[in-house]
Amino acid sequence: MNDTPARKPMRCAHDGAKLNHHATLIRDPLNREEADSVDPVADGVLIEVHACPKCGRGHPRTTGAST
Amino acid sequence: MLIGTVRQGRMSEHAARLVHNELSMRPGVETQLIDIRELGVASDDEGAAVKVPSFSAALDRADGVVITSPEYNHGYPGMLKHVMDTNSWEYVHKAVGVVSVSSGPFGGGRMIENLLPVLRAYGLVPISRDVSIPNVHGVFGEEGQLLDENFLHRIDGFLAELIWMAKTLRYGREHIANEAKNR
Repeated sequence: MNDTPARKPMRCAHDGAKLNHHATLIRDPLNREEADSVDPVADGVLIEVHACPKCGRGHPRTTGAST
Repeated sequence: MLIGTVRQGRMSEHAARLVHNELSMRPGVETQLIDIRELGVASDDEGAAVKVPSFSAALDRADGVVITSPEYNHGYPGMLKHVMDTNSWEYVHKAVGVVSVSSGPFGGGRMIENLLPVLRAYGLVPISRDVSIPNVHGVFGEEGQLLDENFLHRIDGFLAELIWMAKTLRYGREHIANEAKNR
């Protein structure tokens, strides 16, 4: 598995717990810069949605186009 | 809980306060009534550009959302959509229930049917129950007091389903990983 920054586990900014990646949003690009990172297969900007199993807070992460 | 219209004299506010009150009495449930009129969302831009931090924070903390809305011309209020569009990831895999209100006999059911695809697009998970309040001027008095106690039974079932879904999805968000290989 590629060890890209987008695939490294995230930690909760509040309590340091390892986050659970439970969903990936596909969103239309908001500007020209984002249009460059559109995933060609999903046809949108990919945003991972993570949740903390300790405090429940959500954490988004834009992954960029997959290779 | 969202009061989903900014209209002065809105009857849906009585419905929202009633459901909020019922929800707040449930053990283990914390709820916040949010009036979209008071959020002050700017109307000269769209989406995340006009996000209100306190609203986004409330959505992030929430495990579920109740939207109380009237039906305007077979649809939901434009301001409700404008406000909800300011957030995205905050909604994903969270429960949502809809309370609809109408001054006529249909109870706002057309509004609900138009709103459901939007809720799905946000990543919210609608529950199978709604609360529809037709002929709303006969259901609430001048001071907002409930005149037809039959609605309490419907609200009870609605909230039970919402809470179940909210708890279930919270567990999923925190413990069940997304299995997609690349996205």
